[in-house]
Amino acid sequence: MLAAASAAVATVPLVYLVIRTVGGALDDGGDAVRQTLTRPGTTELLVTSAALTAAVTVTCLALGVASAWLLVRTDVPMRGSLLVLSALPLAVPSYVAAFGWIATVPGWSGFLPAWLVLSAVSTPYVTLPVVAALRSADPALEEVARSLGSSPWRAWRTGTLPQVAPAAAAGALLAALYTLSDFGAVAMLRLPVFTYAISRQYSSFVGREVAVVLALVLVVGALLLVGLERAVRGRGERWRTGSGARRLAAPVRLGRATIPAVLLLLLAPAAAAAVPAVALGRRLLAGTGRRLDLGDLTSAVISTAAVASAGALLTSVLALAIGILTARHRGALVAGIEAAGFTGHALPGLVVALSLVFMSLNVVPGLYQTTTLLMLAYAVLFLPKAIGATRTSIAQVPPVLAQTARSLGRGPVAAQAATTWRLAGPGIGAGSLLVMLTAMKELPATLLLRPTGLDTLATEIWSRTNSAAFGAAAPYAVALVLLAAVPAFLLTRPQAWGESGGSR
Amino acid sequence: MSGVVITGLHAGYGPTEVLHGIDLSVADGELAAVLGPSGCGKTTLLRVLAGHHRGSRGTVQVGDRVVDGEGRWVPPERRRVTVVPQEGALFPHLDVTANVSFGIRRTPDVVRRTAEMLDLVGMAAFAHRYPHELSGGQQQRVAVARALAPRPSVVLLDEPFSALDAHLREQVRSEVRELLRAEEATALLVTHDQEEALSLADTVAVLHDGRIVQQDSPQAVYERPDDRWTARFLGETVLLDVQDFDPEFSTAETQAGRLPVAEPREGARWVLLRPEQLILLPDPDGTATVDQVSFHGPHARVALTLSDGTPLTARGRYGALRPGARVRLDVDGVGWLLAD
Repeated sequence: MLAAASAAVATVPLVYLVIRTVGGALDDGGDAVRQTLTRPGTTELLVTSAALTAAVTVTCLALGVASAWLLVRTDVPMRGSLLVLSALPLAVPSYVAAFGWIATVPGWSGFLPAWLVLSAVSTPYVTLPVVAALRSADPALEEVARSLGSSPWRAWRTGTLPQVAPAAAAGALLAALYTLSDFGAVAMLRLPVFTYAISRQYSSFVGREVAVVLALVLVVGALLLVGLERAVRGRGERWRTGSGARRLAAPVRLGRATIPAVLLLLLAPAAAAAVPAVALGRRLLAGTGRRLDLGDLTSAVISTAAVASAGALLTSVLALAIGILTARHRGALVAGIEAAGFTGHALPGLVVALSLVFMSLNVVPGLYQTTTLLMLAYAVLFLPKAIGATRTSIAQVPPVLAQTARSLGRGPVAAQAATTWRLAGPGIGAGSLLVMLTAMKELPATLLLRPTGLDTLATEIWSRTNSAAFGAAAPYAVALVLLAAVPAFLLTRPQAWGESGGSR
Repeated sequence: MSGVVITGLHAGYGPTEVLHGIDLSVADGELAAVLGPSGCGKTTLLRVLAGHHRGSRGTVQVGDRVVDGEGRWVPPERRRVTVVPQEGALFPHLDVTANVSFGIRRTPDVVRRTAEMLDLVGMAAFAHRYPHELSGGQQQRVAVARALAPRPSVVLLDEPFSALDAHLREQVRSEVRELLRAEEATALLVTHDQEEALSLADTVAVLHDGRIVQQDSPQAVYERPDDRWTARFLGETVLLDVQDFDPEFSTAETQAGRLPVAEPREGARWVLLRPEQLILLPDPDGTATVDQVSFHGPHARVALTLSDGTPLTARGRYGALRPGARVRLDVDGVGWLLAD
């Protein structure tokens, strides 16, 4: 029930898009839709968007899985620091990274920099879940494959890859959807993709219907991605069959490959964080005419943290319902509910924001320009992140534990709380942190839906860069990266009971 | 503690019915084994008893309370039926003490009862270890302690020893048996291992294709099975054709000669002997020829052929016999007549 309600919340923007399109088509007999879809520009947008998404996803998958393996299964030095560094790109908004690269290589624009920036920024979406999956994967399967005569690579493919594939697929889905709906970086790097085009059409009143049709095509693309991920994830039950305890594999010795391995691990953090950091530092040192108002900065930091954590809380509650359902059940209805939960992520923040404006003005005018509406937008936008984390965590807990708890006298809810929720807790918590992190960086929805007078770090950066006050934007950008680094750092902490041999 | 009575229980998954009318009873304080090959419905039966799956027809009674059937269904947490799952399924985030005390309700009792159970299973020294720090046998002992700690009406044991290696299995088995006795627990052991069922249980119920085909004492199901399938499932058989039956002396004429049988049976077609009942006496004029001898330590298994071509198996201290030797047969005890 709750899962269905969550799915309903998530589909609000989609409903709006469909209503607008159908309404428009009824008025003019579908001419606008046909014209939009057959314009040569549309095909071009489609090709560019698809190519960018595919390129970024493949890069993230390769780099993310390789990084995770290096971090968990090898004797790479400074493992802890490298793990923190590999999560760092999450703290950098795509528009800040893009700004950093433009400041470093003036005039750089188009496909190549967009691919580079978005890959660097999205790689942790794959790295972090695969690190978690590798930590809990049973090394015995790989060892068995080796004993049966497989090469190390084939043994890894048959023994370990299937155990981490669900996590990698969920991460790749996040990276792909992030790319498909990114607005900040592609706008700054002037790459004409769907989001960029939609925002330009939206801002002109005549183009609104075109924008709606384009947004619908984008939703279709996102649904295809979700379907692809589900196919990879398959129907298999994934909890381990070995006896209760977990064993760690002996680390692979890197030897002479150590330095290349470290360089590989530094690739994404360098591109996403180091280069922009240097650029920001230079801007900061160069200074500007405008003096920095510390009071403004502090209040922006506080409201960013408050809005993001409230949004994360709401999102997690909604995601928990869907996550529990999809981890334990299969079927057409469940698939539909899950796909519904993922719709929001593929919609640009701009579209979600405008659809919520439309819905609130038409249905509940009291909600317009309230933080509640902003929370709702965050929930719609970030549900997929939280669902992925929740579902994966729950699926790894064997159902027999909850059944045993019930036989020992716990009621249905108490039994789940004492076993499944307790064990999946760290993973679900990580999902919430991820949502909080993303909410801090979110730009277009915050810009449109915030109550008058509420300034977050993201909106302050945007308004200052818009007026070409790059130097004035720099302190806010630094503050945002620092603030976002807190949940990013927490995300890399080893999960409580798995690593230390148990706590409390 | 109290007994279990299952009457006409049907259960399945969707259109597939797995249990086709189970009748089974376990007396108070008894250890019953449900023995069946894989796929016979053992796990489903166990899940219905624990309340993790609902029967579609029939009743399950624990003590004097119907827990499933007659329009009633008691959820697992209120059945007082605990489970020792395969491979233990200890809670990985809880230490040994917390695992064992998990099901104990009354607060003043918890500490004392937990300590008592840890003592009983010899795990007191490991009270604050986590499951992954224990060996397989230790995990299994904790799982048994956890299931017994709340003093349940019935404990269900789901192939609890299959993950242990052979010598450890024997040891943990007898420990668990002692523990169940000490606790006067009513227990139902589900297994596909004949030796386990026969050596541990007070009563053995043989489950075949979703039906209990026979329930009796271990000795009775082994020596006096109802049919050939049960006879073979419980161990190696020697089956001889009944050519003639003499009710006066209770003997049957077979290709191996005249044999004493336990009691007459309507339509009897075979005499069942167990290989250890055959006594082989070396005799150059004997009726049987040794084909193969495999030495197992305590006994040797001998494959023989009668002069009419009937193959037989014998088991005993025959390690010195050589293939090709001729032997005369004698029988220890009596045969058992089978009709089908």
